[in-house]
Amino acid sequence: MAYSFTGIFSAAQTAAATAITVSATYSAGDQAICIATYDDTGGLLSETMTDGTNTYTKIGTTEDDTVGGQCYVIFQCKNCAAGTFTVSFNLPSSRGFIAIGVTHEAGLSTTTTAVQAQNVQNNPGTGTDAVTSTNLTPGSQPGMLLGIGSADSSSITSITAGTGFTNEGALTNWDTAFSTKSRVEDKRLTSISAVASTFTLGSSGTNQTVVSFGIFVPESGGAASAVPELEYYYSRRRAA
Amino acid sequence: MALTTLLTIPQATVSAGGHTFGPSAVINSAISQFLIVLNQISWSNAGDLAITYSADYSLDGGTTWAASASGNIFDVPIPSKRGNVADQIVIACTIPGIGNANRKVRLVTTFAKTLTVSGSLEAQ
Repeated sequence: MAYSFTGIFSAAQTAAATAITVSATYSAGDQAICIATYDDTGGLLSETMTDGTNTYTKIGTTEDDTVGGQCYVIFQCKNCAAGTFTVSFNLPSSRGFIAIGVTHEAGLSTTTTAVQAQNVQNNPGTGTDAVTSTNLTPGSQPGMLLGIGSADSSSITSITAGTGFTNEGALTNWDTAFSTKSRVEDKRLTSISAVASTFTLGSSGTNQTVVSFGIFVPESGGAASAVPELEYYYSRRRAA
Repeated sequence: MALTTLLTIPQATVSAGGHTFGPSAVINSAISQFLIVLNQISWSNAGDLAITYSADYSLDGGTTWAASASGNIFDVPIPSKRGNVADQIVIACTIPGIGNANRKVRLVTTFAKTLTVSGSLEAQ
């Protein structure tokens, strides 16, 4: 059965803090792909995400948008317990403009580590799909390609879902507190070809930076990897 | 949607300890977002913990409460980033239960030291 995107929880504050939490409700076996941000003044910190029950693992590296002055980091919880949890994004020292966003999905693998691509673009313009996470290569299919984009400039009027993606909403509390624009999108992949999450901006200008992520997680059960196809190819060559 | 003021927090010097701002009156059933705005009127900028908070909502008129978001606030200046008001604390979180006519919000705090603040609880 195809996966389903089931919601977004978020919270944000301008004041410096060592932690910010959001209440998140999961069903058993949900996947949670989480994003957090903090002011980059002083450099990158060692980030964690916790809720007292579930395990959140950092995916990829911290992305520092040096023009917008924000660090971004992705966490994955592969197999959420059922219930309502206080999900906390934690830093070892206080930083301003700190926020947490939790997306959750049903029907995804509860054991597979996400494949991720990330990118920062300065003044990408308003061309269709001009904002790109850069390509990632799914290890199997079918699965979910989740895109998260954040425009770190108050002068950008909008960021919309890329071609072929479903708009799942925005990190509205980030946008309200920080004067940013964000977008969460997804697409069901049925190919293992390299692919990027893309977005389109509504305006262009100077010092307009956009951070974007593409995160792939296969669906639970029936995931087909590239290996059988290669085995078939080489068995045909041997037979020839 | 324009901001709606749910509760005004008059300028006051707040002593160390627990303080609850609100609850608000029943809020419009269409509101989905809760903002806390606090101005740092008299802070030392010492860099230490100033406030811990819980942004709470009630779906039953104030009988029971749950936290939408929580966190802490350190005693440091807030820059005017992307046009935000300098030294203004803005906390944004979600109020669930759109369509429910019995919702209220409140801000539960513990001040680690005496601070002078003003502010409001807003919604949109």
